[in-house]
Amino acid sequence: MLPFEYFEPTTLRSASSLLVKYGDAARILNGGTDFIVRARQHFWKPKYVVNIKRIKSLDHLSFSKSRGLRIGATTTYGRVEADPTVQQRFGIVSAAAISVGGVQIRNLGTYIGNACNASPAADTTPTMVALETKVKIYGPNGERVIPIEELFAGVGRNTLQRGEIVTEFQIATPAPRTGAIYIKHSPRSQMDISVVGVASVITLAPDDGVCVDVRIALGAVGPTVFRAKKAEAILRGKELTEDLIAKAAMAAAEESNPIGDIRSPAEYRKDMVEVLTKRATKHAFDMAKNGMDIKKQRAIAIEQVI
Amino acid sequence: MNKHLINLNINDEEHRVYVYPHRSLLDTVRDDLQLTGSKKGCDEGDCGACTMFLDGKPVTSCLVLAVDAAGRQVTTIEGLANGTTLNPVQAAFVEHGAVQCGFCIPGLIMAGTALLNENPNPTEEEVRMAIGNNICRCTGYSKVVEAIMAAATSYSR
Repeated sequence: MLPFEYFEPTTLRSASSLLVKYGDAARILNGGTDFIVRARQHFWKPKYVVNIKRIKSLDHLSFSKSRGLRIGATTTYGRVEADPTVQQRFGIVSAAAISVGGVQIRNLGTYIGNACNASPAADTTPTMVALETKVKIYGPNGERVIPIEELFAGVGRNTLQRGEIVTEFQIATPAPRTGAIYIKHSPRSQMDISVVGVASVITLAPDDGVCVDVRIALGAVGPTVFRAKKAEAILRGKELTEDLIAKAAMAAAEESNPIGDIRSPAEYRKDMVEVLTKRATKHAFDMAKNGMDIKKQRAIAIEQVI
Repeated sequence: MNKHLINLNINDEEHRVYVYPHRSLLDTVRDDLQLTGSKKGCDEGDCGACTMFLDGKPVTSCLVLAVDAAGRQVTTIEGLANGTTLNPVQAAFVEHGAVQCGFCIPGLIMAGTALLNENPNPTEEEVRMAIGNNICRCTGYSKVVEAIMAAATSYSR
């Protein structure tokens, strides 16, 4: 790793000022699981490193029915996935978290850092997109809140401006009769990068099997994580059947634009979008109707090994 | 670039070290403090051989800057035994033949101990998940899992 100057600000204001002052030569250090690796490869060569973990206000995890779930920027995956409220009310958030890395990595890495790293294969991002997460950002011009899709500019690029720091994710409380499932498709159940990631969130009407809302987000099959809107349109407002879900899964595959790389040829990824969208949506439908034990949600997230 | 003078609390002992900010906790503990139980297998968080506890939680210390660990509690493999009495996980590894070349073992023992600290009665699946961030080239993991399961039966926090 190339040497750098190191700062541990204790306030957002001082952290932001440092980032403004040093501009492109500065980089935020959060969990470090991407940062340290990239710095050792000389892929990132910051001259000034701003560690945000001493800013106490960034470490929080809270829930209220009205405000939903709030995950602070420095709150680790380990803390989030084990939290009883997250497991009970936002099981998909816990399930997606355990598909990232391994135990040790999850005690360092963070949801926010992962998103800001903007890999299209990031495992927590399809879940965040499918949950219509809002991102709170602190900057030299004040605070702003954006939908998470607006955080991503492209492969490895986020839309943060000079001096900006993401402070938290805000996830609304799901409506009753909502099922939310994430499936990671990868050669290993831990410590590997997804070949395809599918998050499917289904909300049913209070009394019957009509799908009043559906959100399907796909990871690792495009330059950014995106919603399969055509697939969603097939399901929204309809009574869900096996057939309809299969049609939606086909549409999702058509909407995806994967590359071929060392992990998989493009054709395989496209095929797996269809298979896993169908699977995730069927599970989410089942979960919306009958609920689902968190153990099963978590097992589904990492069960799919190639 | 300047060095930083920091306090590191390793296994309940205070150490004052003078380090460049880009130096990892692993390198500092091994080379500056001569606690060589933690190993450098990959230096990128993949193999788990460098596992230490940071404020009680297992982490890959190669991904932690020493300056970032200042003022926090660090536990290394050297901190598990009580004098010459091995902790239950260490003892079980010996008894069950879970050690071959030994290189991955400190990391695995740390991972196993971390699991039992939180979940004293794990299923085999939970044990495998707990060692998912550790690679062993020799054992094929079966004796390792057996040892951790056996340690669980004799575990008291």
